[in-house]
Amino acid sequence: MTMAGMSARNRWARLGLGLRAGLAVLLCVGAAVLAVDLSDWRYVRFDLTAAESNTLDPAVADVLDKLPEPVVVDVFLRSLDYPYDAVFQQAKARLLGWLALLQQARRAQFEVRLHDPKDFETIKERQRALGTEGSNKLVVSCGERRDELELFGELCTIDWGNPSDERLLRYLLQQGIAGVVERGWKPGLPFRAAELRAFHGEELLTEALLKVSSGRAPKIYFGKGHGEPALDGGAPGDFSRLKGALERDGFELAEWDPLRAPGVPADCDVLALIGAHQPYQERTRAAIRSYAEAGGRVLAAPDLSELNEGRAGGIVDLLKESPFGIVTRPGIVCQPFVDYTGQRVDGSEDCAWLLIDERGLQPTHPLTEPLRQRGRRVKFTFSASFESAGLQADSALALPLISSPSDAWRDLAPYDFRHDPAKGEKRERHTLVTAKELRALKAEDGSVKRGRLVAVASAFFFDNESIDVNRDFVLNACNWLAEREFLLRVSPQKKSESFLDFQRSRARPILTYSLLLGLPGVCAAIGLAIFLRRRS
Amino acid sequence: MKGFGAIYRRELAGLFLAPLAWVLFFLVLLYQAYFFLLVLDTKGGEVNGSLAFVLGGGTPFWLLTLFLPPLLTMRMISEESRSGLLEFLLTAPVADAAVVSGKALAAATFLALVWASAFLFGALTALLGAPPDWGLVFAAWLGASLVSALFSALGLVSSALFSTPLLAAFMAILVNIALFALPFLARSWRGTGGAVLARALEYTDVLGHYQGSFLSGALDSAHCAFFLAWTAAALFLAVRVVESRRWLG
Repeated sequence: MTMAGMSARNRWARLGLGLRAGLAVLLCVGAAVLAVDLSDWRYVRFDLTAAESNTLDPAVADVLDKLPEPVVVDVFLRSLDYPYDAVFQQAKARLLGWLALLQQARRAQFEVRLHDPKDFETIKERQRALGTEGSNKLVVSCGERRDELELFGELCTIDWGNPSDERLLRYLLQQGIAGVVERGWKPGLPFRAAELRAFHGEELLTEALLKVSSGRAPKIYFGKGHGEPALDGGAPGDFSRLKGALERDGFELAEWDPLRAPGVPADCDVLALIGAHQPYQERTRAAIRSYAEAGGRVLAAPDLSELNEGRAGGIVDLLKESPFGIVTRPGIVCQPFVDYTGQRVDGSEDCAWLLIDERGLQPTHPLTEPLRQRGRRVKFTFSASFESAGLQADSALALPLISSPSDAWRDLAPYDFRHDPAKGEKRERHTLVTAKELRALKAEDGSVKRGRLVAVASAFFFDNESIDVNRDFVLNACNWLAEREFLLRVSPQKKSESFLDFQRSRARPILTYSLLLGLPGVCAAIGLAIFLRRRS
Repeated sequence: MKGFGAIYRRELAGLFLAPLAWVLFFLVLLYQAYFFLLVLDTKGGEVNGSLAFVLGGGTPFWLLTLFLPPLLTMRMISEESRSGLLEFLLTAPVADAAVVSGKALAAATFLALVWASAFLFGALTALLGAPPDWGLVFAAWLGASLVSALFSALGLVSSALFSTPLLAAFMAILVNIALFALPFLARSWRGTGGAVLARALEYTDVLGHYQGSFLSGALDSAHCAFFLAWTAAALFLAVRVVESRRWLG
């Protein structure tokens, strides 16, 4: 063989070896990718911390294990301006830490999408798809079902301190942060920084997961055919916003026209009788009564005109009858309002606009207690009231859930919105919403199902003008009625913390000298010794 | 792997019996101690958070991790190749894999000892009445050691590829920075392209895998497997490069 031939063979041999080596490297990278993928598929996790800060509460783990399909959590955060940036960062860190823990615990079932606040287009598109808007909130989705949680007021309880000037106060209000004035704002007092008081993410997020992943959507039937506001109508007095809120909360909505189908539909979880202008037929009232006696759930709110005109056979009369036994009192509940001079005055329609804060909410009922905790308020306009509740003839307890302030009075016709004791108008607390568990009846299969009633004294409470303020109460009420109560008790996640007392001990100088001189000094001495030994 | 133990001992002795290693120890301890005290002061004396900071929670750790392994490994193959010692090693009755993995493990051991300084910091705070969460410190130390092992293996690949130690170190630092920063950049790149790239780069997201478990005190088999798989892949690549010397001539 010639030299040229041998050189050509060598070249081909080298090329072959090189190709084999390249292929081996490619296979090796592929194997690494496969190993990473496989390890993510089946994995074990050990929590080494003393406080078990990486271990999920059994209630949370149980909810995650039972998720029927993957859950996506969309996080829309936007930083607050100075001086509230620090408290925002604290709240954000707590939230993202908790979400990361959930995601690490169940990677295949739980996806977190943190949206970049600067990427307006993507955020807008995603929010449109989710049917939401705004920032500093998260949306939990499982299939078509969604639940929203707000960072401030829901997930985090913040003490907003004292904003010290109206500019800061206005800024907080623009961010949708209400309740600062009532709680802490004192004009003229020095600025006090906001601080994070509590984080409720563990409990609320788990409740949201449970809500979006629970089986069949409860069905709410709205009464129709008696002049009720339109469920799809966009006018201020209609219910389109209520409809949207309920659907987003996982309810299925339908209408029931008793004139066409006299019996309450069998698949009705909650019957909503709100703002009927015309009286019901006797057979309709009988159908509603027997539905409630058989363990049905009713949400009722009379229209003001029914009381004014003294119409018989409407919601007011229905509520009075057994098994409900709730008496609606005539007159509009009014409260003196503060005018621009700071005086408390009456004699104006403004007196009939009531904004009830946590002082008017029942403190122990599952329906109002969460609202009190989050500092929520509710709004009533031109509302009647119910007779003082208590143990009733049927031995079921009617509980006043929302009451007016004690300086409110019941303005009697003709309405002048003026407090007139001569007409019998007394200043006292008036019941605006009441709830009742109805008599238990035994079903054929032996099971006992108690009916439930939530009666609201004004149909305006649910309309498009008021629902934004009253949304949380309405959703709570529907969830309670449908027995969709996600009352989980999840203990807050603990953090491993250990503090050195720099103020009252000599820890600082000891640490400084030991760490900056002692340990490096030992290393330097050993290095020097080795150097000298090698030289010698 | 025949000869692995001998190579490992030889490399480790080479590191610890030279003054350079102790100078490095001195500098790194000073650096770590400075940041530990600084964060301890800022956090009002909170020990666990401060220890986590010097073990991966803060930028100073990552600066060290990106630069230190390439500086340690830059001479391990390229210098031996230049001095002709590598040819001697390759003709000796030891496997190429043993040569490469022995050197990598020695570098990783050295770095694990550097990060173990956190245990000394913890012991000192415990003596002063604030014992740290040892589980958290151990998990973070293990994670730091695994990251260092991966970067040491990449440093060895570079050292095998380039005959000049400084060039090898420079290239390894570039690779480390790319590995560290690319998933970051992909996530901040808006649009579909960014999302696809970010998804692909999740397979090499060192920071995400480290912070996902070790830093919070959890030991996760998936995250351990991530570092071990890529370290093994880098070592395999280094072995192939060393082996290629035989047939490239």
